[in-house]
Amino acid sequence: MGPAQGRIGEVVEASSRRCAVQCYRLYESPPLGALARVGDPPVYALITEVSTEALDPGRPVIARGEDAATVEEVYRSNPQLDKLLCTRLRCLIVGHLRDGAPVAGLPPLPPKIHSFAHPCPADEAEALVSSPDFARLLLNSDLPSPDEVIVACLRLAGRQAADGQGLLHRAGNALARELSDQVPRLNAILRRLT
Amino acid sequence: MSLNLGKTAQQIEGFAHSLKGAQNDRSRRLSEAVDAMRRAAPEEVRAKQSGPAAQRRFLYAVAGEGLGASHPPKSAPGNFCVLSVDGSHIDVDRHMPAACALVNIGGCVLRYGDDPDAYLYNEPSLYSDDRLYLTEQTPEGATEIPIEGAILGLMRTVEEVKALAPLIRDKAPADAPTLALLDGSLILWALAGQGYPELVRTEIIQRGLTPALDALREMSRRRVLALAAYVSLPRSREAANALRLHLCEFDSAECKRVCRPRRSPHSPCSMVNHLLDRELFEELLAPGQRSCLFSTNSSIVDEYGRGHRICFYYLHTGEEVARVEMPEWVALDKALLSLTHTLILDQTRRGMGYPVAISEAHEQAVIGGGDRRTFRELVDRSLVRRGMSISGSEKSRSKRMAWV
Amino acid sequence: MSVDGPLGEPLGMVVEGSLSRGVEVRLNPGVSVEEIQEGVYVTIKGERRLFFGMVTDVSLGSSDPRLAQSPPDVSDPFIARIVSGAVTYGALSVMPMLTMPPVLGDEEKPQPAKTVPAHFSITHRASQRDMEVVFGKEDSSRFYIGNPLDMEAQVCLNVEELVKRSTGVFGKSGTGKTFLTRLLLVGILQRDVASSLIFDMHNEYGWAGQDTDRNRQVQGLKQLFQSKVSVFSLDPESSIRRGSKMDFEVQVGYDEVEPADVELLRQTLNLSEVAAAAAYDLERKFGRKKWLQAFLGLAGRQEVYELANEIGVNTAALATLHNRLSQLKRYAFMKPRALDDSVKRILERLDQGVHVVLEFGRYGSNLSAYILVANLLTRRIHQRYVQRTEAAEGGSGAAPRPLVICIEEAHRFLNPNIASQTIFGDIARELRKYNVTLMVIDQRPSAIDSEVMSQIGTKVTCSLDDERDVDATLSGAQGRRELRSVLQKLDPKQQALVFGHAVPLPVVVRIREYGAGGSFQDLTRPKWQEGGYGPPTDEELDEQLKALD
Repeated sequence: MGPAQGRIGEVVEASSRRCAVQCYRLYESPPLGALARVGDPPVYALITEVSTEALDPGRPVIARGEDAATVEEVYRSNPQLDKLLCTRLRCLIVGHLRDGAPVAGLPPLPPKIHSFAHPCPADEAEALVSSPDFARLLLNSDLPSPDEVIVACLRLAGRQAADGQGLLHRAGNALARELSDQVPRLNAILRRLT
Repeated sequence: MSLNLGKTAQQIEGFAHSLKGAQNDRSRRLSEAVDAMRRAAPEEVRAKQSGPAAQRRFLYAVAGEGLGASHPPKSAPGNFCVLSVDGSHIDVDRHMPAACALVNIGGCVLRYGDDPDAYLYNEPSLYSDDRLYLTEQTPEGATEIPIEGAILGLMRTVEEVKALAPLIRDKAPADAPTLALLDGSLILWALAGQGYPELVRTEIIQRGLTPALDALREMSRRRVLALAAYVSLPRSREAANALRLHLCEFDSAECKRVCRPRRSPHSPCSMVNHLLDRELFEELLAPGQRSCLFSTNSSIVDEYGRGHRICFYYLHTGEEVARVEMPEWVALDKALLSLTHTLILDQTRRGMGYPVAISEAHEQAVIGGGDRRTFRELVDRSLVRRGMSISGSEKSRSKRMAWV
Repeated sequence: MSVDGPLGEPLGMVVEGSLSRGVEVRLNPGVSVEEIQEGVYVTIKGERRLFFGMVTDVSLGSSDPRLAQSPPDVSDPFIARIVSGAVTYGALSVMPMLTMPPVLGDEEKPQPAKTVPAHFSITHRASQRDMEVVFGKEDSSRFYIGNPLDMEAQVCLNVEELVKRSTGVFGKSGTGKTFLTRLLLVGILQRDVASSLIFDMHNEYGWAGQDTDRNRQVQGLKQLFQSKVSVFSLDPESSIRRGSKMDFEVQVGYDEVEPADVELLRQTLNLSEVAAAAAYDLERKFGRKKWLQAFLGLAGRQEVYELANEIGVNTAALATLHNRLSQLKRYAFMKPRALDDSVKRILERLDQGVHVVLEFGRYGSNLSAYILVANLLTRRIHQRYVQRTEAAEGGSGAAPRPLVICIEEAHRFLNPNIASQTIFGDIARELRKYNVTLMVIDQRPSAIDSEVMSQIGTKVTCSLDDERDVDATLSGAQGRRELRSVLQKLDPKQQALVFGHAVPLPVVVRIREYGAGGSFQDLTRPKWQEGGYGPPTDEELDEQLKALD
């Protein structure tokens, strides 16, 4: 029995700017750059890092596969690993629902701990991603490599949107306005969107 | 005041010197003892261990076969299940504003084979008020014994065993051979020679351990279920003492008169002095092999009830020689006995020398330093919220601060 | 051009500027600089008013100064589209020229811009309606002269305003000055706001003219307006040969020539100052109206020398004068005494509201003849206008009908050396005091006296090459710098910059087709006018056919 309605996981850390989501299942996480709709009232969180580590920070993970032929075999012969490791998502909070419509920007309040994280519906993702505020928020974030996240996010949103090209254009324009004085950087991002 | 390190170091030097001499003597005696184990014929051992002549002041293992016998492991079944329960507790602290104790039982169920899976859990339970006391109303009057210290430890062990049956019922597949593992000994050594009132023994054994073991034995009749306890780095000398008895050339009365429980002044018995069982079996067993099956003659297990006499063997895991204990109903079933051997060996291999299931159960149960502080704060906060004073005793404070 | 009215295509927004330099408009992404040409009109919706202006420059900009060193991958159309507009952008320099109140009442007209639109005001391409509001619709006072660049809207000249002051039609040779002048005259004729007297040097206005670019005949004013136009000729033979319906043969009597006329001919006749001045001595000697005939009647060099000694004039100079003036004897239209008073006939026509075209026939190629006749006739006509105007002011008689005198090679009459002495200089300077204004046609405006240039109310300028001509044309105009660049980029054909009193703001027009598709109906019967002059009567048609035979 899987988590209800395609739920990704739960918020385990939250602040106004970022949150961490623990996935219900090991390795079952949305990809980097995906948007999650978290909690109620919903807050939109952009997955900026996916990590898998020991659930208990005090227990280092050790190598176990010296005699195993495949990674799967390692997991089969150590069934407890599924329970001792967990996949976590570090997210940047990028938007919230205002007057029933998703808007980019920080919400008045962060999501509650244990709020459920769902995949963000494509139309809401589209509205957010093509907003100028979204690009600004990301570019001005303290992410170590915001450009990578932006590329991942836009590629994903472009694939899911009904009018992917239109979305990429709007988002690209928003980026261009923010990076109008950094053409090589802008170029590097745009090149990877096509 | 700081320790006088100069004087201490001098004394340590002297001690180390004498140890060195003892070491050489010990190596010689160990190899002699191992030889003697190998030579001990089963009939002779059995003969010596029966009858009034067997009465000694030391505990010795009762062997069913030659002391030096060894058995290789069988191959493991395709699908099987290993589960374990462990516990941890926070003892009653008189420096806390209210008396309470916490027992945390953790467990894991590991399924191997076609459909591997794992289940981990833990369940804390608070001991307070009436639960903190063992009480009994007898015609002579009421008795009340606080549950703390060693008694709390015993209670925790009983809770661990009690937790096994429901765990097996709920989480272990009925069609897979199952091994239930406990950490440490099944023999409640803490009860030995402490002079606990009858009430304690009754609560711990008759109302605690025995029903729990009964439940497991009952389950074992309907499914392939073995129960074993794993003692790492065992310090027991019961097998060594079995050899001592075997070698003894004196009668029971003389032995009782001359020999001390731990050491014998006479040769050849003195050959065994200070030797641990595991030292002997490190020589006797190849990796993977187990020793012959012993049963303990400890008086504690006499109270366990029928079929629950504790048997044990030593197992060379490759990393160490561990002691594996099990109730008689497991030991006497050749298939179950073999299952314990095979699966524990498998577990130690998967667990880098220590059974995985026990490690994980321990991880679930363990209460770390941070959690202990948090528990204390939770108690304090709950009391404060209800308007109660939490001024701890002065002693508690002085223990945490170094006054000048 | 009302705030509520339909706006044209949005182009961009104002980002900086000043009244003197104009405003900078950053183009919206998606609007290509290549779609916008200099001279295009825009409306800028300011906070409180609407501005109307002209694009004076188009430029490219970039927000990243390193763009040139590390250009983006524009081979990728996606990148190219995004980068253009955000990182790179097009910009327009716009000279705000007019402002409108936010609510346009019937009475309110566009006012010259005295401020600039606020930051971020949105700029639109001027719509058809905007253009109509600014340039007016063709009506009883406005004449459709052409279209703004890239637009179908009509640019109309206010003909009433046009004739109130002198008009200049400039442009280097072959740019269509004649074409344009013909059109302007049609405008004046259509509106009937003035009479015109055209000194038709090359016989292009009265009867059929030649469209040299299309190599076809175009109808002259007489053909179009028939009884409203009267053709006079100095050379009846030529007129008849060309089938021109000539109404009157002009003769000039020697008695009509004055010493001042000689002064005017100094350059063309290559006379020294002394020689030209001798005419005055001759007049004193022989008397007014008689001196020329007497002088030209002298037989031989000896008599001239004697006369020189007698009146105390340098012999050589008088000899030269005699020699040069003797050329006049070769002009068939020069008679000792004219049979009829040409000036009187011209004035009669003008008074009837008829426009007079004076064809020079073969004398068109003789500059001296042209200057002499034009000056002589104009002086006398002007004299009459002065008299009549003054009389009217004194309460006797009506003021004469406004007159536009059209001269070609205008710098011959109006160059700085002689402008102060000729009648044309006077007319230019008097403004419309005596109801006479000029329409000067010239390819070298720099040769025209700057004072005269400054008095020209409306200038219609085709392409000019010479820097001095450009400067002279634009002197005194507002936004000279911007207009200069517009002027320099005019197409050599069929484009003209119009500025001055007859238009609310400088405008570059594609000159309307004169007789588009061979039909001249739109000239004679403009749409705005019910009925118009009507189709030619059968009689007139017969005459035309006859003339063509």
